[in-house]
Parts: sequence; structure tokens; C-alpha cells
Amino acid sequence: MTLTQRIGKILNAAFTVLGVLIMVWMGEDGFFLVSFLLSLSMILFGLRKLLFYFTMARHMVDGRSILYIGVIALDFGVFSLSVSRNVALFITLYLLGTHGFAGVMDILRAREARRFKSPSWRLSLATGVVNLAFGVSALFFCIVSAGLRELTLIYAAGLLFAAISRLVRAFRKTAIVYIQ
Amino acid sequence: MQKDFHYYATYCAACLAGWSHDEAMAICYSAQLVDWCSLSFLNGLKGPTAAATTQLQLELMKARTDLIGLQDITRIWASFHFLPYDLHAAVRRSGRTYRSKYRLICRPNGALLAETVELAKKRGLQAAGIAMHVLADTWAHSYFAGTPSLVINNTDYYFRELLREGEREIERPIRFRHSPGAPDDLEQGLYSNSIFRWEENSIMNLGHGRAGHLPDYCFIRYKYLPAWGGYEEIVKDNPADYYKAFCQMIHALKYLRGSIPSFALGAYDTEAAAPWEDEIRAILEKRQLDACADWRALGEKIAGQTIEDFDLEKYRAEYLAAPEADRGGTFLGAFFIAAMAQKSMVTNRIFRSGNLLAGFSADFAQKGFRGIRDYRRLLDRGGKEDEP
Repeated sequence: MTLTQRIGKILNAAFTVLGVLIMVWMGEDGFFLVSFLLSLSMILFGLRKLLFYFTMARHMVDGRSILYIGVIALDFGVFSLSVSRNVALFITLYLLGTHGFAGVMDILRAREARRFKSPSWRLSLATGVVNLAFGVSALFFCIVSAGLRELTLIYAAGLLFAAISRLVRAFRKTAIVYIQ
Repeated sequence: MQKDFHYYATYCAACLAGWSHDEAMAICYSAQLVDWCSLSFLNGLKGPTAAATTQLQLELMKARTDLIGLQDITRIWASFHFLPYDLHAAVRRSGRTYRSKYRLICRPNGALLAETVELAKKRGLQAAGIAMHVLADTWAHSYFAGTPSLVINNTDYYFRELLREGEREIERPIRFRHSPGAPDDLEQGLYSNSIFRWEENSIMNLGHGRAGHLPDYCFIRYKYLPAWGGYEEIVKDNPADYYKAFCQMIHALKYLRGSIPSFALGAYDTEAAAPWEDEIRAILEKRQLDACADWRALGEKIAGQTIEDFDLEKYRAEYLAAPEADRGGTFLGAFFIAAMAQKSMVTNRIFRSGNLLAGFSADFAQKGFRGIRDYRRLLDRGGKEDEP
């Protein structure tokens, strides 16, 4: 990893933490910021796919389908921006899907690590349980209390976790030594 | 390739190359261990994590595909399972990222294979076993790259199995499903593969995942359209390729043993295999998911010895019982050092070609030690070389 890449990771993590603080500070309005961010991410996804097509996928068999996906995603992102004031269910499903999947994967990974007598199984199990708890609590707050504030906090907590892990990775040693 | 070839066929090749039963066992054990030496395995031993030679299915599912994660993945898979054929291959009208990925496509008889065999020379039986794994996989894993890439490793619906019905050759469509737990159905032509994902760097697009286990089956002949091939179909004749792999292993193992002066790319010791050719070809042509029993029977016939089952725990106690400073002298310690040497060499070559997909390589001779602590073990080893 180059120095620029390390700095980029640190800045990325810092901005994510800043975003989390703003989201928490805004209270219920933070929810609309979340929905705006999700729409924006869809637009960025579409743009990335288009860039991917023009730089790489045009060489690939059936690569044109990437072009179509990019155009559709961009269109959907722009559309969802215009209806972003009623997307609680959308956010809940997003949280449930991402955290739930990560949780199940962590727990399966913990089982495998334990089979290999690796001490890392406890950490995997713990992160799995926490991730599952995130997903389930998102579902709970949507169904039981429809609390926009709680959904926002869960989303913010997920972002905070991502920022911390990015920060940790930025300081890892990565060069492989070649010794003849 | 699977245990049948990496373990039992490697044993046969080692015996035909002149190694003793015990030496051949150590070589084939090391060749097979490459498919098991994962991060979980190393953590369980408190071994050097940089010596990982594979990633288990769930490790892969958890693997990050950001820059650092991709470099980790590429180092492991390109170094041990998908050795790049030509790191300077020309690609017309393409960007740097596409070119970097294209250049990691694996094929037999590349310059890196010669370097892999040279690296294993006089470095012990474990290094020989690792080299044999890498060599054999260059045949099985041809046309795929050891890095996650949709634009290189993807395949589409056009997949046909080539079958012989008497004198004529017929084609049968191959169908894929995404059920890793279910065994492939040879009769129905139904195989498991990885799920199609649009993301360029999805772990589903690593190596031959999109083609399922077809490259790992010795009996199968098929044709398909690789994503990178510009709509030109590739015909893969595994029985013929596997026979070449077997004969090339004999040639390489003879060189590592010191029986011949040099290892040459494209050289196959068909002479040593000739007395057993009919039996080997019969095993390679037999339609079965696992050829372990047949290869084992052949190995025992060749050597007149019993081949014990592969046991992952076999050397664990020896490694754990050894004092920290002496672990390099144990079987697993020597394997880890040989694995790090191979990974270090391949990463260095990829890096030097201007390709950053496997990460940075700090050349010790020029820059001293600036890398991962595990690699100090290579330094501590100094110029120590094991005579086979």
C-alpha cells in the first residue's frame, strides 16, 4: 500500500466518523440523510458500472450487460431521490440484509475456525452475534415502534464499525519481502 | 486438481522419478497440504500466517475485496494454484487494470514455472511437494486467473461436454447449479459452480469458480467461452493435459533429485511413465468424481509399499512440541518456510512486472527488511539449504 493509499484510507475513515456524528446529532432528520445517502449510493453504483464497462467490461464476453445495468441503476438512483421521504422499509431491509448476512457468515466462520482449533473462533462468533443483533434490532424497530431515530442509530453504528476497521487496515504492514 | 492427483498421483510420479517411499510420501503430503494450509490451520498452530497457501470456502466468503484483501487473495492463489503464464503479455487497446488482470492468466510452461522448480531445488522435500502442486495446477487451471475478476474468469451459458460414443464424438450441454453441498451429477451433466456476481472483484469470480469443478476432473473434455477470449471457444482435454502434467512432474522431480542436470519447459518424461501408460490413461479416462482409490492402487503397485491416508494432523504434535526457535526444523516448519519462499518469489515477479495486484514486494537485497514479520523466518534461515 502506498503512502497516498494509506492517507486516503485514514481520510475516508475520518469523514465516515464525521458523517456518523452529524447523523446522530440531527436526530430524526438524520433518517432523511440516510435515505439520501442510499439514493446517492445507487447513483454512484450506476456511474461506477458505466466506468467499469468502458474501462474493462467491453473486452468481456457478454460485457454489454454491464452497460445496461449501469444505465438502469443510474436511472433508479435518480428516481429514488425523488421519493426518498418514505423509505423506512427500504432501509430496514438494507440493514437486515447486510448485517444478517455478515452475522451468519461470521458464525459459520467461527465454527470452521473452532474445528481447526484456531483461537480466532471466539472473535468471529462475537462479531457474528453482534451483526445478527444489528439486523434483528433493525427489523424490531421497524415493526414494533417504527422508530426512525433507532434505525438511524443502527445505520450510524454500522458506518462507525466500517470506519474503525478501515483505520486499522490503514496501519497494517503489507509489503512482501523477496529474499533470494 | 484434487487429492487424487496432488497426493496419490504425485506419489506415483515421485517413485517413478527415483525417490524412495518415505521421500515420495513427504513430497506428496506437502503437495496435498497446499490445499489445506489455510489461515485457520495456521492460527491453530500459532504458525506464520504469511505461509497460507490456500483459503477455505468460508474464509473466502469472509475475505475482504478491498485493495489489501485482493492483494492477499492474489498472492495466495496466483502463487500456488494459478501460476501466471506471461507477466508481460501484450493486450491490444486496453487499460492498465485490465492488462494487469489479463497477465495473471494461468497456463502451463510459463517462465514462472521454471523459477518455481528452480526455487525448490535443494530446499527440501516440502519445497519439492509445493512445486509439484503448482506445476500440476498450471495444467488443470489453465485459462483462469488467481485473482477475483469478472472480466477474466467469468463463463457464460455456452458450455458443452465432449463425449465419445464409439468412434464418433458427441456434444452434451453442461448445466450448472449453485449448490456447493450437492455432488456433481455426471450422468445428467449437472455441476455446481459459483454464483454469478456482477462485481468485478467478487470472490465468486476467483479462479475457476464459475466453471465449477470441471477443471479439477481428470476425465472430462469440454469446450466453453472464457470471458477474456473475444468469443473464441476453448477446448479443454483434461485426460491429455493431466497425462502431460504427470510426465512433467516426473521430469521435474528427477531434476530436483539431481538425476538430470536441468529442468526444461515443455519436457515430459514419457519414457519413465511408459510401462504404466495404459493404466494411467485408464484412470484418467474413467468417469468418476474421485480417482483416489485407483491412483492409490497404482502407486502401491509401482512402489510395492502401502500408501497411508492423508492426515492433516500428522505433523501437528511435532510442530507444537518443538521450541519456538527450532520449529523451522520440523516438517511443518520447513513447509511454511518453503511456502513463504514461493509466495515471496511470485509476488516479487508480479510486482517487478509493474503489476500491483499482488501488492508490494520489498527487495531485501536493495532495501533491507520492510515487510511482514513472518518473512524474517526466511532471513533467519540464511543460506541454509537442505540436500534432498
